[in-house]
Amino acid sequence: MQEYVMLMVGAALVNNVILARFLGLCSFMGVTNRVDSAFGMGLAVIFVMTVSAMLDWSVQYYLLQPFGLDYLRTVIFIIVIAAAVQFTEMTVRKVSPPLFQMLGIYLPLITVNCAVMGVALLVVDAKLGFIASTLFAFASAVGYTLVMVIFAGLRERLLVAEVPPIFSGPPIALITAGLLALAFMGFAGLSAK
Amino acid sequence: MDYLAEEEGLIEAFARVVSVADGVAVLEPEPKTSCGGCNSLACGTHSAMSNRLAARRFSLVTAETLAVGERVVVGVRARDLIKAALVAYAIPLATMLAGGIATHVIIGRDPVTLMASIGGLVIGFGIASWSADYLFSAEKIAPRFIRRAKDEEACPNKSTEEINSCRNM
Repeated sequence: MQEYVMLMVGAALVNNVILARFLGLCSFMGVTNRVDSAFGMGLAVIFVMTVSAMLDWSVQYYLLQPFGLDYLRTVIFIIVIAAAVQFTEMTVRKVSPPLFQMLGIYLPLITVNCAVMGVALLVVDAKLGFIASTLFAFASAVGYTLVMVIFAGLRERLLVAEVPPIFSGPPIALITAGLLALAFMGFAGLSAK
Repeated sequence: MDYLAEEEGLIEAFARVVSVADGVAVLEPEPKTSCGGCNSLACGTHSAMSNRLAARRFSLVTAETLAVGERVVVGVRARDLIKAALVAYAIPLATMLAGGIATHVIIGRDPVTLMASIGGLVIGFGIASWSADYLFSAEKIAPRFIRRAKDEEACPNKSTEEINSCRNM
């Protein structure tokens, strides 16, 4: 059990998807204007990343590897992720049309989020078991959401801060992101993975 | 009207009026891209998802006189959006993980764990459906009209000429 805890801590904090692996940077800069929308998108990413990693693991070990089709991995994973997002959307629409309507209007599309693809590939490369892969993807997504929410909070504060004109907007946001990455480096050494 | 959005903690989004009849406007949302390069598809960002927008159309009752083709800003309360995201994503995810972990601890074989996770996911969607019916009514979380949108709001990095040329492509 401790092995799984360390795996999750490592995925969420030490090797954070955004600040250590530099995946999902476009949404990191693009959807962090408000804490609420960053958290909402984070929840969607947690769901999609976990389900996609689960499906990708199954495809890798029950289809690609037995039939020697590893070279198709990237293409197949893209299709699996797109299908997972589409399935999620269809299911939410069936489960609750008002929820679907609301989430469809306000949460950005995440079909092509590189963090989702990156984690799916990392999971397969790490040669983890099914439950370890699922937990790794879940923790990676939680780390992604954590950073998104923290950064959105910082950006909300920056809006009311006195920033020199030359640094206002993206420059100060990038400097803040750099400082946040430095802060997360403090977690290094917590986990072996 | 901007003041209204600030005051009530509304999250804003862009939508285009598709039809108007008896004070009820049917709107098509302009989904944001997750890259944030632009605020909406109106500035010329086209995606393979565009053809699915028709499925996302919604009705809006408003006292404003809206015209077909007009772009408007609509809003919902931030806490409603978070509650909706929690119901739609967190509940199924929690049951899926619970099913998977419990089966892994008891049986320990990957194929069975996979099946149990899928079972947990299905149960989670059932609970989410029940929770959504219990917590939300369509009227309560329906988007509200805030104001008419300006072109430069949709795509701050492009001029009006560039936006129009994108639309004409």
